[in-house]
Amino acid sequence: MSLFSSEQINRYVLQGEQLFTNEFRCITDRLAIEVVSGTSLYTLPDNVIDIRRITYRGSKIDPISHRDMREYLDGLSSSGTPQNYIFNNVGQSTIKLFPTPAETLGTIQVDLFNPEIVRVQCIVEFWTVADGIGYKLPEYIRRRLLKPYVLKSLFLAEGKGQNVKAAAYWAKKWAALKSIYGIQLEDQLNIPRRLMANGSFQSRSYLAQPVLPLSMRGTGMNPGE
Amino acid sequence: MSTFTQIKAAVRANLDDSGVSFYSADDLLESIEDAYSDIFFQTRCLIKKVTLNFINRTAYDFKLLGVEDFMCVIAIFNNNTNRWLTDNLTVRDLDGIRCDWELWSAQPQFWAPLNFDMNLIVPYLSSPTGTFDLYYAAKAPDVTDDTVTPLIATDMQKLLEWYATSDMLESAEEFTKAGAYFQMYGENVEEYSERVKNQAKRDLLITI
Repeated sequence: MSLFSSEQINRYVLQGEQLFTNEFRCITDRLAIEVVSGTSLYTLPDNVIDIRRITYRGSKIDPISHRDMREYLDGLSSSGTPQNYIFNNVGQSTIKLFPTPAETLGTIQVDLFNPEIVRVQCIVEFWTVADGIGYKLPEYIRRRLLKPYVLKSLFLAEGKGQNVKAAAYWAKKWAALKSIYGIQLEDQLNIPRRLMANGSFQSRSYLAQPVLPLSMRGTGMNPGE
Repeated sequence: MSTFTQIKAAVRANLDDSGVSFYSADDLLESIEDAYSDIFFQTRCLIKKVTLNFINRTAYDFKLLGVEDFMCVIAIFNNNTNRWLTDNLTVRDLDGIRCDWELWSAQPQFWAPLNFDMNLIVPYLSSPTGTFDLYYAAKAPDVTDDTVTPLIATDMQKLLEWYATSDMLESAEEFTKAGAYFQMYGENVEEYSERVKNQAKRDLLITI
């Protein structure tokens, strides 16, 4: 009889994958919301952990903070084509569209990158975490990345297989690989290559503007964010 | 220049296991394949080219289009216009160009990564004609023939040996020794990654 059951190993595999994909957002998907005329609040599925982008009939609508909504828009009651949305502070996994949609849009949940479908729907592109079935890390990193987490967890579990020294080694390796792979994936998925076109889009598209001293520029942003 | 057979022998020599007594051949092959795959992922050292047809949307799943060993895009060349697609944009930058870029139909000008599977080519051709050349970083091939040479720079083939030795020692719970090999691997794979990215940099033509 083996020391560890398959069920226990699979549980740790999923745990490790979820920890990684929660820390390094790298799995995205899309869904279409069934928009109803006169309704501004919509509940999203539990697997939506953050929103990357929302389009209404193909045009991007912008996120707005709850404070801005309250201070500038809350007194207004308008309906029309949504221009903004709030994701937080309006309920669990709920978004509020503003202005309130004045039309009803049907939903088709397949082929959500097809322009003909994008054109007639409200589509949410979201970050999600691994579920071990449909949402997974790619095979070219999954096994190597999750192995240290699984071994760390197994060697820590009470029972005949417990080995605290081994658990400490695998914990260290898990932390190292998580960092290395996280940086690699960020580079692969979010940073433009800039092999053909150098410099940023902004620098070549707009007229030069005076720049504030470093201490007055406010919060910075990394390339690709 | 070493073959996989020679690399496996070097690992067994490191482990003082030349008689194949303690570590199985299957375990060693698995370690070598892990090493191979890790080097390709971290360094993107194998760049391939394939010609594909444009489709009538912005998002491309290259694996679905038959590029099975696809890992990530390096560059895209539009054969219709004889121009490289601009590669300095993120999805957010595309929103800065126009908020409905998903509906923008014209000759493709830009590409940007979207996720593991999908990459964007913007604008899209509503009536797709013509082709583009996709230059992509490929995944490591399976190790099926021990007599071939790994597709890695000759002086960096030791990376396979170090990774596999470390992996084998870990399975024997020799953590101190394994850590030393893994450290050598980590330092050198980083150096190799830098080298691959900087290749031909002095010949880079700044186009924009």
